[in-house]
Amino acid sequence: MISDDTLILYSFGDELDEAEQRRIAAALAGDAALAARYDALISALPQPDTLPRLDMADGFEQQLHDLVRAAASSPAVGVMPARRRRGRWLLPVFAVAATVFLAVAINLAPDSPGVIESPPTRAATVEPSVRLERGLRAYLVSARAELASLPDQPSTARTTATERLIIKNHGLMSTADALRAADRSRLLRGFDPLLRELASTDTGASRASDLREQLSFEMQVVLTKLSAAGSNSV
Amino acid sequence: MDIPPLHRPSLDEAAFHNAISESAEQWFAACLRITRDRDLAQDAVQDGLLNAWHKRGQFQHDAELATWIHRIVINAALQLLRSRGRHVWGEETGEMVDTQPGPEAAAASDQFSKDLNRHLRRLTPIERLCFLLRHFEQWRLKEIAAEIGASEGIVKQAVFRAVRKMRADMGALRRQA
Repeated sequence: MISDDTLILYSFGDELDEAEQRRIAAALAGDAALAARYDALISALPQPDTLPRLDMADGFEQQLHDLVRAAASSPAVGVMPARRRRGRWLLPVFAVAATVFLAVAINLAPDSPGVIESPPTRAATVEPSVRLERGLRAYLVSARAELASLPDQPSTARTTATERLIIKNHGLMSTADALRAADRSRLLRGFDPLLRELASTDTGASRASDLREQLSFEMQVVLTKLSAAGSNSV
Repeated sequence: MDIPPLHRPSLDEAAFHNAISESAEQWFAACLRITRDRDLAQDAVQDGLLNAWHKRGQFQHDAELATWIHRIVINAALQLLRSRGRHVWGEETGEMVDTQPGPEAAAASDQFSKDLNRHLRRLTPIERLCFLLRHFEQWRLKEIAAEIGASEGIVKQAVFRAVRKMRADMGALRRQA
């Protein structure tokens, strides 16, 4: 008798060898009860077009376009570069991605990371400066979590994850500048050289560990100050 | 006055922009199903896209570019899960355990559970991940096993349990109807 487990493997199309696939296909064609059992098994499985739509945040697609545009604009980034020169290649990334992140950061300023973002109508009624503070807090909380999980050894994972933090950092800096929140901009600017050094593949494990610790500490200090100052301070 | 040169995308870049326009939603949806966290899913798509750009010389044109990038963003999602310590292998049972549920992850999980409640609600994390990768992402069982660091047997059993649970749920729904 052909088991349900074998029928499941058959349904995938590429888990059984050709002879077995043909044998089961022939059995299904010749046995109505087996075919009915197979249909019942497969009909229980969700199909992609029956899953609920999972919408991206507003502006996210544009952010992806700008990410590629920024990466393509950098003269120092070739095809799978073995090592990145410290800092220089990131400048075009900042120039393009930061200006886009300005809009995204304001609109996507949740109270804490991982919370599903507010719909646009609610966000539109909140002061931009308040949204900046919220965005800043959310960024600092998530950045500290990200830093805690980074590997110390030079790696693509460490570089890519840190690049992402740099882009977010610059986006919030641009937002702060636009809102004339000089103190916030200054705080974020202070993180930039440390993040750039952490992103570089020239930075060894020991120094990376120190950088992660320093960034985490300084971000916690800022978070504490933000909490003490209250959400409406700029 | 100097006018900055117009940015003219290279063929590679244009192809990436087309892929984003066509498939970014699918990449995001796939990552969200795996990570169950919107922020992580967005990070995974960005990481994957950057990785794909840097590796574009390795694209062999034996599939659609968007499909190739899709695989890379899925890998990025799995990498983020590992790096955030969200799922840990229990060596004896081979079961994945969610070590850091956290309030935000629980809230996101509740929301996600509402969305997919009908289909995946009773699955354990490993059953959900193995089922998603096999059924939706078309990964071979041995690929899933290699990616998550488990034996093919464990992955196979997780998929079988997932299907049995969903079939049981479907049967219960029909009886209620």
